[in-house]
Amino acid sequence: MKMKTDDELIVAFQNGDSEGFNELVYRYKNTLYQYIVAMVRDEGAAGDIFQEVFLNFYRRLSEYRPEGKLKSYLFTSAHNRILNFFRDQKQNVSLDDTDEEGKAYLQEELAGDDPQPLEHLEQVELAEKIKKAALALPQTQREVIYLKQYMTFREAAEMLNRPLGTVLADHHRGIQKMKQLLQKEAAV
Amino acid sequence: MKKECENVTLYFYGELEAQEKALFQAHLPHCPLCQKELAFLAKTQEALVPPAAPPALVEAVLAQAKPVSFWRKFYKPALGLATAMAAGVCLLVLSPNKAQQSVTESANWLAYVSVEADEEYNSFLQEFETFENEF
Repeated sequence: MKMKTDDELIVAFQNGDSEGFNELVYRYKNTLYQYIVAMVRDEGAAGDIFQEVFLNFYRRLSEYRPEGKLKSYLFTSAHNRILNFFRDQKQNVSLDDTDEEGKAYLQEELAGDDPQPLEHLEQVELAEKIKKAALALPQTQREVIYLKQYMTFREAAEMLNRPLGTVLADHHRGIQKMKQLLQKEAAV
Repeated sequence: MKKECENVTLYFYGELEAQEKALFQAHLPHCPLCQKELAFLAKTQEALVPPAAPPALVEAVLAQAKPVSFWRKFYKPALGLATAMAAGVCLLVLSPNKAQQSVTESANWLAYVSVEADEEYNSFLQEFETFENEF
């Protein structure tokens, strides 16, 4: 059976089928939760933001115009709440120094500093270390690394309101930094 | 680093245009750096597959997003209308003479009934909200 699109579920809800909302929650719950937890690194706060995102969407659902952008809407809503969380926490929300324009990353050597091979790590162990390294990244790089799991670079750039080249650069730097962290750990 | 190496990430995620993709595919077998990079991107993607969100959290969202019941949606206006009608009927039954009064007087009575009904309605609402809160 063909899976209904987000817009079809929204229209179904607007026509009285409350299951439409439930299905949308099930569709986005894992990716949104992972993104929020990875950003705030606090499960309690992440749970609150997660609920706010969906309940705010629910309250606006009857007037929501289905235009094929629900994923972007939900992640933007989460992103804004994450920024509010950081503001409330008086954390540093400024973009880090990786945000220079364009394709500066293209000048960098790919894997230029690769003294320790990672191949010897067991797959499971490596997966855990990668998760840990991803969570240790600076905010902007971490955000792009996780968003890339759910959307294209173009969608991520649009959502973050940043140039595509900048988003690509942050992703590249994030990946290189993760490698460095893994290599450092492997060397210990 | 060759120019094609710049496209390794976009290639991995399938976001290269056809022409650039073909160029990269031709380059890849001869570039150990790109091969290593692709392998690491694959491992990263695998490691960061989203785990399931806590079921309790999802249940909490669904429980709070219950649709407003028909009764909760319409009880206020329905109650107001019923009260006004009941008050009007009582007035006609208990005070038939009043019903025969002039149009002006009737209008005054209607205004009076309206105010009474409002008060009765507001008082009922207060009691109902108190009941709801206690419940």
